[in-house]
Amino acid sequence: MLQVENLNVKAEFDRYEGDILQDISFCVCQGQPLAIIGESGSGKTMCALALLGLLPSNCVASGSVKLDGKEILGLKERRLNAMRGCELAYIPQSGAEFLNPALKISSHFYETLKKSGIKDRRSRREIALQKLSQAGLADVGEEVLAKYPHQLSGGQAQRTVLALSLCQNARLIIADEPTKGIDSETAQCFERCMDTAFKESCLIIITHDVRLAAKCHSVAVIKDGRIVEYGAAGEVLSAPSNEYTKSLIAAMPKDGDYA
Amino acid sequence: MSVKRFFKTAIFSVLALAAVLAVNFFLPRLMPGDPLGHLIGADDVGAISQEQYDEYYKMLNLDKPMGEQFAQYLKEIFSGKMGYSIHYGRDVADVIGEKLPRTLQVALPAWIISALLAFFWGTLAGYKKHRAFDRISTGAMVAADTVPTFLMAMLLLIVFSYELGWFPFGALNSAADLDGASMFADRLYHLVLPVLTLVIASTPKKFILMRNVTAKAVGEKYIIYAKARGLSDMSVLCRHIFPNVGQPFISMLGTSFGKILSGSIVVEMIFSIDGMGMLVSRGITDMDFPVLQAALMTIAFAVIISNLAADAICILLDPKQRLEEGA
Amino acid sequence: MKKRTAKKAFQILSLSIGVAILLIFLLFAIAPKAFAPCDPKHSYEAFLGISVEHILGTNNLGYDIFSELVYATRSTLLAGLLAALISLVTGTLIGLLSGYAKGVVGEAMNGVINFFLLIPMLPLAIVIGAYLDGGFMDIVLTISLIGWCSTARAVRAKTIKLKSAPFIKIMRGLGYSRARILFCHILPNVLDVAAAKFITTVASCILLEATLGFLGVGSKVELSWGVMINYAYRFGGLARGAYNWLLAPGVCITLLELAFYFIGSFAEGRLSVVKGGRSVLE
Repeated sequence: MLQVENLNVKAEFDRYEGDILQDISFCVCQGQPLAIIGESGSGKTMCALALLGLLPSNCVASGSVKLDGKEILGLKERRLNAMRGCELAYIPQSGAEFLNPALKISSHFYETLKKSGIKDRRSRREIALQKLSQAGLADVGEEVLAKYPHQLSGGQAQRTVLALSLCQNARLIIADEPTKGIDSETAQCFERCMDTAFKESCLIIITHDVRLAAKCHSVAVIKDGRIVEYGAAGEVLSAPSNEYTKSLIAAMPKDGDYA
Repeated sequence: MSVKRFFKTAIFSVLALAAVLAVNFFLPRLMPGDPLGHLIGADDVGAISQEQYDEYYKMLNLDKPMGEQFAQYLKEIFSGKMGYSIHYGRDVADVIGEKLPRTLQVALPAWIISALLAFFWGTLAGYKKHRAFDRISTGAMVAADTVPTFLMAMLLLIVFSYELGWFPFGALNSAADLDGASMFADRLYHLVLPVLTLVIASTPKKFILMRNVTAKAVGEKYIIYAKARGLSDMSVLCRHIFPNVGQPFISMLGTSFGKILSGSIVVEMIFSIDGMGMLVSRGITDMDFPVLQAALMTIAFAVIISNLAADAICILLDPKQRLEEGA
Repeated sequence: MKKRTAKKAFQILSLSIGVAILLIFLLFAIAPKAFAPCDPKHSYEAFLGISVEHILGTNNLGYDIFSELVYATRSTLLAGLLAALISLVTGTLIGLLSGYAKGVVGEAMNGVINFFLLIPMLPLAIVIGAYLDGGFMDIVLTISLIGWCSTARAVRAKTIKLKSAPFIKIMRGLGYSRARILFCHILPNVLDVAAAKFITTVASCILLEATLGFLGVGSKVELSWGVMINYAYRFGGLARGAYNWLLAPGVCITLLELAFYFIGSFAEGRLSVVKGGRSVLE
């Protein structure tokens, strides 16, 4: 279980200081995914980065983030780094931008699997292919492994990034806009994983997609760095109490991305 | 950097080489003063007898029309002749052939060492931007950059040779007659200070480049993702950052060769190394134009070629250019 | 908060040091008589060390080195400044034209700029300088023949960017002549780039002048810092251990370069703020 209490993030620029996140509090239980929705720039991605300890150097986070009762905010970088890639997983949006352009896809997998402790080359390859097929790239697994990121289509890149996260048995998974700008088939792959592989973990989904949010257990609405509404998905999405939430939901796409 | 741009660079290089050749031809013939004097390096043409003057005149084809002179000039260049110098009493090409290796013995190690130093040090500093390591390193580099090369050379010479006596005063070998391994060791001993000077003089700018390039790369999304996957700092550095800063590094390698050669002119003069640098500085006092021009041409050629090679390697290294674009 | 004020304090401190150094040398250049304790051409005893009467000692002819230094400041600074000014004007002009001109002309000019950038400065300067007489203006000309390309490249890059800016594109539609667009509208917008480059250009021109002077290409009439070191080197500075003579002008050059570096970074810091805010993920 993930417990976040009073998470604050301040950023320092040359001439001024800004509050990126203020008093963020929520709770995510195993198998009960949380959807975080909000406008662009409201601080959703920063929230994800803060939980993982990956904030840029000019930001400072304070508050409490407890995973299974253990405080992970402010943990020493070494220990936190050990947790990332094992217990903490991050699925970035638009996988193509987040894969290293100089390395083949196979290298990406081997790195992640090595972190999970799998030393044998052959088993790494087998597991990689297995995860790729779980993510929806069953037939083209071999091809994809041999390619460089710029050679993949958007959907393939996204499924690759999904497959990479499947290599870990993470306690906490944060997916940043997993269905944005990709074809519906790829989106379905992700949703399938939601129901299967990710069932054992605490899942946070940052999304614009109302349909995807509806599949989650609870929803938190972020505006200008604050949570303005938080509750069970069904309630928040069908009968929001906050004015902002109402207009936000009305503006969000119902099926995939904006027309 | 795409293949198309590489061809553009290649064409530019060819044109640049042609331009150097042309300038080399026209400069002595168009500059104020007697072209003959410019071509053989006599600062006072009146000092040689009329017979000699006529001889040289014929030898240098100055009686023929410009077009023919140029054709003859090109023929000579391509067969390796670069003119004649009175002061040395032989072909300039010979002289350069003798001095160039000595310069390279100083320039090449300095080039490689400063590049490697800048690469690893600069990348490390850029990776942890603004931390103590970075601040101190950058400060030291900036300080080293403001010191002119000749001052640095003199300081090192004074401190380590004259005062402390740790290293010899100059030249490439001691007067003693050595051979084999002991000569090699002696040579290395003599090379330490000049190479050190060049390294100190040329590393700062490279360091700052690598540092900035790395700092920028660290902000890239794939680094965030790599860190999110829990990869260690060392792993991120070696597998994710290095390959992506490789390109600017190779480019810089190409362009820095010319600067190293420039710097070695001063270093050679101070450390009494009889290489291209001494050639140039003696050429200045003797007004030995053919030698000066040939030296410039040699350096220009080396620079143009090293730049082109660097660009070619960049293309080869970048998978985006090597393979086709994605679907 | 503390980090920011410390950073700001450091910036102001370095700027003050830079300006102070520059001012001192400028004063030396403008009114050498007021600062030089002795007549630089008066022979005292040769090769005296550092003392109260002669702050930096005397050289081989017995001239007071400090006074020589003060008097030589004018030559050094003037050469650097003039050369940088000429480079500024030619560089900006060529950069503008090559950035604005379309097709082959623009490419050709770019080729010329890149050609000069490629060829190493020092050898080129030596060869050109050898052909010319060695008078003051000759040196200035030689240096400016090399210093313009850096400015030209920066101005060209900015011009190309501006060329596709909406407000420039509209002007063609409104019937403004090319010349008018170029000089009345693009030029003012590239001046910030040119000005930032000017400071680094002055620094490198002074350095080039000093190196040329040291190598003996320099002005044979006026004494500049570089020429002083050349004399020191040739007339027994090392052999006699007259380090004060050898090193003093070099240290001055280093100080001046440092001053320009501080001033230049401050100016660039100012410019980047003017250009716009930064993103969060900086």
